[in-house]
Amino acid sequence: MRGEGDQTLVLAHGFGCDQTMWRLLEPHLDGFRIVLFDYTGCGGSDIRAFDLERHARLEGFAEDLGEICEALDLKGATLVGHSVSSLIGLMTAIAAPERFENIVMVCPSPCFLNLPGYDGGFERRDLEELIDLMDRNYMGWAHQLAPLVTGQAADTELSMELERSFCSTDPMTAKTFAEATFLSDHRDLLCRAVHPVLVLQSARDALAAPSVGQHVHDSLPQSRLEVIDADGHCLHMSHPASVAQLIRSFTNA
Amino acid sequence: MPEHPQGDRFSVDLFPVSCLATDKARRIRFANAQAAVQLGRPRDELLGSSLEVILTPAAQIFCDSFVFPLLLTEGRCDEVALTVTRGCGERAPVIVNACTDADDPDIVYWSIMSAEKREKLQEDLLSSRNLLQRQAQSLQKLASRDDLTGLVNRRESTRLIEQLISAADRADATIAVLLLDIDHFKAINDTHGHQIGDNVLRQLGACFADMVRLHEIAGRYGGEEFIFALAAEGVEAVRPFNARLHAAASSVTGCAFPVTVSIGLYFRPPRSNQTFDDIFKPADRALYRAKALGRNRSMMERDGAVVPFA
Repeated sequence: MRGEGDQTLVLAHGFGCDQTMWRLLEPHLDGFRIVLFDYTGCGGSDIRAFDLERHARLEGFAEDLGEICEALDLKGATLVGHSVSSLIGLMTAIAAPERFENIVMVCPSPCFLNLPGYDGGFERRDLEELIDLMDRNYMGWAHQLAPLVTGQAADTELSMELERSFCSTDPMTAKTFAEATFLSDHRDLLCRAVHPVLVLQSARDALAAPSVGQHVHDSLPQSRLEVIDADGHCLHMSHPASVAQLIRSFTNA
Repeated sequence: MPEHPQGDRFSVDLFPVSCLATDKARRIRFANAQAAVQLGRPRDELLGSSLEVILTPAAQIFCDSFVFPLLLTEGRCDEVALTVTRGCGERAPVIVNACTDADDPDIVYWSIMSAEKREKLQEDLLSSRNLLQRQAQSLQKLASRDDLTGLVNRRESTRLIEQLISAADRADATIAVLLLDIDHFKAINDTHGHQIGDNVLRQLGACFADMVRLHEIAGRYGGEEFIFALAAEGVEAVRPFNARLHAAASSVTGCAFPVTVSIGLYFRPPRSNQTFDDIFKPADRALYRAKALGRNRSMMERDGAVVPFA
């Protein structure tokens, strides 16, 4: 928890990273109280809390986030979620509406798969290849082999605190998070939103295309869509000043 | 002293690695000769096209999730395994290093090395790992189950109940813990033999497994002792469950005399700081009293006193 202000922002990182991904945005958020955290299995989290079953679904991550909000006893906060965290945050907000006043979705996608009548951007085989890429990128980490072999970090002595480094993620958890993120379809959740939502869309985003942002906007009961003239999927890192300014005007802070 | 060759003797085109430079919009602005060979695309086709053209969709996601965030914060990214699409449509595994230009962070330099040979080793390692993982999972399942009844064993019951305790505290819920003991089980074994005794345990295990819902726990705690734990609105809410446990006993077949059970109950108030041991002991005392009073009944410990529960 950092900063001081009447309005609290809960910054929820996306897949592949941890809370350090917000550090370029933070300097632009003066006057807000900021809550930063790492999902279980990411960054500096206690990997012993990772549960292969619970975290095989985004709902498990949403419960984690709900517990954080409960522990801090948040009321009327603004939830800022990047990418998949937009959906995780939405689940949390639907389950405990009083904790939030509004939601900011940065590059959201409710479903990455191309399905009949919906263009998520990717075919199932692409996403399966992604899971395979995750594997290939973590194989080399010798010190990570033990928990990876047991696959059960939750209650074994083998589990260890993750090293603190940018985007440090345990291979097993990263793969599970990837599967939960990329092979799920949460489009039905959008119409159940009870809070006003600001959707921040990158003009050229290969991961969450503008048509996906438009779909999110069209499906949400109360939302505002802002397209930022940018390349890539990390608006809060590539265009932190614009993102901060839009958050500020949205929350009237 | 060796003679220093002329600078123009060497060229980035001669290095056996693909070198690319991309701009802010991820367009390729520079490509060496090896890039054209390795990526199977003429250099003038590469120049000006988007980096996405040479990456598979999965590699694009990986870049957006890991590589670009790293480049934006750290300025470099080392040894990333990606897949490129060659001009002919063929896919090829590569290892990529990337860094940003010190003066213009929008410019990214990429070196792309072929990884086809190490791919085979990697595949072998991964399939061994996946096999080990599956074995570990099935071992874990075996280690947490009682093979006779199919219920969780003592160690796993304890672990699950400890989890239930913390979940119940968060939800402000009461937990009911029930210890159940089969009456005269020794006599069943002595009279009919262990096979019949095992059969009774098996039948009860199957009934109990059907009775519990998600987040409710039924375990075999010891020889003829079972443990149950569930979040409960209050004492009243557990009466039907308790009644079903007794009914399950009377439904057991294949035994000359009726099977009955004794049950000890305890209710853990929410946020009471009581551990597993703290709730097990009163339930055990209540069970002992149920036995002492003639069996085939349920007793509950409440406020330090043991009272009938029916």
